[in-house]
Amino acid sequence: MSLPPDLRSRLLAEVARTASPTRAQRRARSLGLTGAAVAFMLLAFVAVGGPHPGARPEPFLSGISLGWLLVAAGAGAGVLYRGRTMLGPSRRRLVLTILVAPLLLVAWTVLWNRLYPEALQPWPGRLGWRCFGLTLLLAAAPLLALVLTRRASVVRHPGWLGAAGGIALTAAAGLLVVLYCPIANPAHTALGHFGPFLILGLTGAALGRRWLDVGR
Amino acid sequence: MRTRAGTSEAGPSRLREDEAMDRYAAGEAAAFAELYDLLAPRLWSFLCRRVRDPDRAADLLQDTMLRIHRGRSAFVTGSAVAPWAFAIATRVLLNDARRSRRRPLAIGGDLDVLCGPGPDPGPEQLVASREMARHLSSDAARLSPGLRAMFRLVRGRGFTIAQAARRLGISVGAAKVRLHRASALLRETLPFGLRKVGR
Repeated sequence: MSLPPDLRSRLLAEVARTASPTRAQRRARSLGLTGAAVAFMLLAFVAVGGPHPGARPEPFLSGISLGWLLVAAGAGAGVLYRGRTMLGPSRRRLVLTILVAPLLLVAWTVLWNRLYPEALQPWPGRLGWRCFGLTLLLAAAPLLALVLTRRASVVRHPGWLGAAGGIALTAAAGLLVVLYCPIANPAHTALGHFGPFLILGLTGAALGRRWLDVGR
Repeated sequence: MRTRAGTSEAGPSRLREDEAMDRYAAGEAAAFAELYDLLAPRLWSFLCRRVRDPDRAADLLQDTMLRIHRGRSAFVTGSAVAPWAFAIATRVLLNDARRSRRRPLAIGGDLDVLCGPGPDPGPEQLVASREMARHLSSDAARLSPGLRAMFRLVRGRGFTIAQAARRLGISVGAAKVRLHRASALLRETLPFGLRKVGR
């Protein structure tokens, strides 16, 4: 079977009618979107009061923040680094990111809480909902920006990529929340600091399947 | 010498298509026609081998090339365009197949969907489909109500198994079992020559 003779002309006409950004336009748009999302994240953080060490010992705060920073950077690299392929990261790398990042952060938090048990004092009435909501608020705009900037770029595993993006951005937002929230007791941390991983991971997966799947 | 990723053993046409894509991603509109001439024949034969229907393959090829056009800004300088283009074609193909499975083919009654011969059927396939519809419509009445309801929802009305399970208030596992049993029973009732079509 040979190519239909009129397909070429039909397609070229259709392409001429369909707008498509060039690489430079996309780069500018991505930079704009990412910049706006990060600015929103930081402004929201400042608006709720910014860093608030409370009674936490300084080494505890520095140590725990450094861990969140490193894990967020590693997870971000797992999602964003694509080398020379345009098909996005492998599923193995994305699944590793999704599983390892939260586990590392749980382990890191437990370790620092054992080193500084004085930070574990309970705070009546602070179940963790405020931190939970704040993490969702801080991560929402960057997650949306991530999905929008990768839209129309063909990825092999859109759902997994979205989920890993959600996890990486939860870790990034979690870093700010750790700086903001002086409470380190386990129940609060489980709900307020680790609960959003589940929500944003699932949201990222849904957004990825909806917007990054080329066939839809 | 390795000048571009993945092209060390590829011919000059691969290099030309990568360069054409690179220029197109940078904004040179005329490069798309060149890209089409280099890529389309291979994509066409890939799609034709899978769908075995030139009209459908042409639609899928057009869809694939349009997605390449829309996604051109994602092209990374120095990459090979062919794996990317074939990945797009594969996704377009899979999603088209998924949509076709969901689309009920209402020829006659509820069960006619099984007889959907696919787009542009040949005369033999059409005759076999009609024959099968006739058999199935009478044989479905002999199924138990649970099996019949499951079969009609999934095969007749295009529900997914999960949707049908929810509608009937049963688990997805139980729904799969019911559908399998119903299909197996109906297949057994078909004349031998029609069984392959019914799968």
